[in-house]
Amino acid sequence: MSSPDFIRKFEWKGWVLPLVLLLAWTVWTNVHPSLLFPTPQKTVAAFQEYSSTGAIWHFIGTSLRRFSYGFLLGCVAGFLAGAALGSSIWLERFFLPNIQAFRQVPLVGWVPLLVLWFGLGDSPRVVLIAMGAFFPVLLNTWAGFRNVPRNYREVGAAFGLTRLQTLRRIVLPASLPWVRSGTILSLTFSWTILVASEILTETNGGLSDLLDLGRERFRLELVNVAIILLGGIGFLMNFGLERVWSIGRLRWLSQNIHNQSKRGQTT
Amino acid sequence: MRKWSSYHDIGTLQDKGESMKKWALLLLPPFAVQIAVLALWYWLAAREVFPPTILVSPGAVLQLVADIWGTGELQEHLGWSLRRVAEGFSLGASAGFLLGLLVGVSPRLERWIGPSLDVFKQVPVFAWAPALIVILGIDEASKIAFIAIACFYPLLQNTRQGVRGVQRKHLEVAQVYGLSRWKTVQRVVLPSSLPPILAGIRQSLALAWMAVVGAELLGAESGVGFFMVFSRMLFQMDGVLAGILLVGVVGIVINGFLSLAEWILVPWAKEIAS
Repeated sequence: MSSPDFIRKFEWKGWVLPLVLLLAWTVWTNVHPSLLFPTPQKTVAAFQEYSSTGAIWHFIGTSLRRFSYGFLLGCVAGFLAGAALGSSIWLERFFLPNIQAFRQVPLVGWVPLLVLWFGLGDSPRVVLIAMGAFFPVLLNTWAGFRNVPRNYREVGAAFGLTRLQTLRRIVLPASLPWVRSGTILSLTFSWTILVASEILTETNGGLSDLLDLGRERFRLELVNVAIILLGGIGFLMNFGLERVWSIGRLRWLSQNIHNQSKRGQTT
Repeated sequence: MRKWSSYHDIGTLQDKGESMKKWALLLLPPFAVQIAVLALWYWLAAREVFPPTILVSPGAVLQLVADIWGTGELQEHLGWSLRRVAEGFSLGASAGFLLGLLVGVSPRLERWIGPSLDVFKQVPVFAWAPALIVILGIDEASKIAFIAIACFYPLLQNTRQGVRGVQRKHLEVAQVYGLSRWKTVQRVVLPSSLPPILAGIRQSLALAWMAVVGAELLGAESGVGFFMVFSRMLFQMDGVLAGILLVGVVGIVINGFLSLAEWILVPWAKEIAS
């Protein structure tokens, strides 16, 4: 969920196991050459092969484009829906139980349907990624709106704020910690969904092309490259999103804990 | 002042009529939405607003479910999927739980291997699938390994954090009573980290169910996911929708069982369960 501690606070012990694993990988695969476990050198060579032609940047760009459309769409829709459910007890009564049930359908189960509905272009993938981002943001925004401390509202009432002013000055700032954890959960989850959406649909062009190529041509070094890139980009985006939530006043607002026991509850 | 909580105070109401009203408010509105959606779906299908490859009527979907139930096809596919989930979950979840417990209990282990665990977590689960298929073959082994990987992290993470979050004073009480390390884990650490562990099990199973459907969509000769992908290739919309219905119902049932388990085992941890 959050970036590993050893980035924030350098700890040499954390680096030992990865280095040992890397060493073991290098030694083992060089001593026992096998198609199933390519050497690190081959992996680096495969990366150079694809990056020199620029193919890899194209893969990354395509995947990131799909992801960012889907993620932004899902976050905005999730925030609006969560805010609506959080502001109106009637909307909550009508829709929340249904949303909770709907969420239990595993997302990849929608893939065949979305492909039939939206064809084989990018749209079924973007929709799927957006669905992945939608639910965590919705539920966390809703929880944030519901958990605004009562005395905050009372102060607002004492100052005679209108509904809109209460929303802008009190409810929105107070629910930001939840919105923040919603977006962070969403990011991780929809990045997973991006990969699922790419390998489960035929025409592609994204990073999962490397996974497919590796499997079809029996070149597992390509799979290695893809795994490392997918993990690395996911990590960087996580880090970036936490940075975004730390800009200026957002830092204080989004990390100010109003009710610790209930914070960041919804997964 | 406006009332903000709608569910939590049902049990505390004294007046019977008032409580009936509460239950009605809880159950009727969502039901109304479901009826409305179904009615809209019926209407759209009956008027043939969309071609039958895009939308079929709910009646046709239910008819198909009844048909494949009659031929035993449904039970067979569902059985395969559930078996894979059971095998993969028992592997991945137990590994995640044990490792989470070890890393949570020992700060030293946490310092050495914690960061590596965090790094591996960043790789999206589905990225492992092609490598698993090449190494373990397209048959059962790769699917089970895939599901196990999907189950591993939620339980690892929840157990780890749950164990680390055990209150200091509880550990001190154990120390005062002179409990051994193992006894402390058994009597203090496990019971107090049960809520996050159960939440982890619930997340693991939800992911396992998604992973099995994904693995079967990717390449299989049985299972609910296979049934869906097969229907899609034949452009049989009723099959696809029946598959989603099945997958969704099983997901809801799994989640329901675990909520019930949480409610019975750790009734004090309502807000964590959400």
